[in-house]
Amino acid sequence: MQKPIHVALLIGSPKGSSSTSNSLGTYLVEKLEEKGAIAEKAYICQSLISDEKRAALLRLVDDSDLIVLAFPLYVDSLHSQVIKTLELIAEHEKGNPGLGKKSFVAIANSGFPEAKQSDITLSVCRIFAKQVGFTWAGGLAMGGGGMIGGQPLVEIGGRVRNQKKALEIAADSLWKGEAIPEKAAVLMSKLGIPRWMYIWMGNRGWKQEAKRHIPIKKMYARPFESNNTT
Amino acid sequence: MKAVIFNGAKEGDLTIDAIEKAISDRLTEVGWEVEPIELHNIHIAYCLGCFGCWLKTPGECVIKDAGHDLARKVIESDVVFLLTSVTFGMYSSELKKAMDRFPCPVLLPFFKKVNGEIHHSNRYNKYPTLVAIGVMSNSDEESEKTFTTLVGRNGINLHTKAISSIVYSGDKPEDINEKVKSTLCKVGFQ
Repeated sequence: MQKPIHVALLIGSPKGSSSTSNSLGTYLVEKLEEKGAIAEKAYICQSLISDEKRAALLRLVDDSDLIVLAFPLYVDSLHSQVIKTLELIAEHEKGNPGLGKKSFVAIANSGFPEAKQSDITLSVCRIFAKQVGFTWAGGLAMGGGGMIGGQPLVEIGGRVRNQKKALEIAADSLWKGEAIPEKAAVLMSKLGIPRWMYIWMGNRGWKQEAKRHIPIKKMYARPFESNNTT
Repeated sequence: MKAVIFNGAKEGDLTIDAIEKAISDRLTEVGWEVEPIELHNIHIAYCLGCFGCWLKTPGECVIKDAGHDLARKVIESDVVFLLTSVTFGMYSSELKKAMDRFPCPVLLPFFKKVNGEIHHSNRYNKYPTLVAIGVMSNSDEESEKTFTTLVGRNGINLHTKAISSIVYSGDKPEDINEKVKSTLCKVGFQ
């Protein structure tokens, strides 16, 4: 695998620039830029709104040595717009020789505390890379995405120390033209706060957020139950 | 009894259309009410990830388009069929645009432990059985395994039973009918 020079960062969250996917992908890419990589970012949902933007997204992929896809877990897999993008890339790259030179990396996050719930998305990305002819350079998955909530990692303290370290290790390896090592994947999956605390904060956070809009008891509404109960 | 069929075929995908017909015919024969939805004919906006269905209009998506009613159709059904080409081991974007829109409204945001893992709590007491049938052009062990795992994960997250099976696009119509029949047997149809 050649040393990656041009990096395409594809953000697969519909929340775009305010997403945790953006926080994670940007941190990795900034580490690569510090080493001399040239990076460009595309927000997938915005990139699919016109033929012109789709063409620009495919050009970005064409011109890259390393493609980083950062995305949230969405109903156990990838968001429909991310799947659409993978389908478009696969169609575009069909029969295009020399694609093995491009490397593909996936960074998954979810709001569940267990990183392993995103394992399936990494399998999907590995299958995609294999079918398209990209070199699979590995994947990282984290749980507890609520700890980041779209903030830049540089602005967050110790609770994301494992993720920062994991992304730094990944950047070192990718810059050397190597796949992401297992130790980075293990670190990425480690919650920076106790699991019970994350769960407690999560449940409390939903209620606090809902209170700004509706009475708490409304949260439990069952609008489609035959004998409509709230 | 009611079933909804989410047909995630691209226009002109004859295999998925044949599967839809086989399911529809069999269920209608035994007196079920069946609603097939050909997703490529419907504009469904993509899920924004705004959590409005948890925080602003609980149980209902804030986007008022064809995707808004999917949660109702799911909750009012006994079985939900998911028909798709197996795309990198998962659902096609055509099917997923619908699948992104109904799970959040039918669940609560709160965390609940299920088999040692954290998942979202159920909003309703009962959820329909999920039956996913994936179409592949060739056998590929890794894709099939990933697809089966994905459907199983959906079942855990939606607090229901989930069944998957694979059909090959080169299968003869009688083989497709046979596979549909054996899949329906797993749901309890004889």
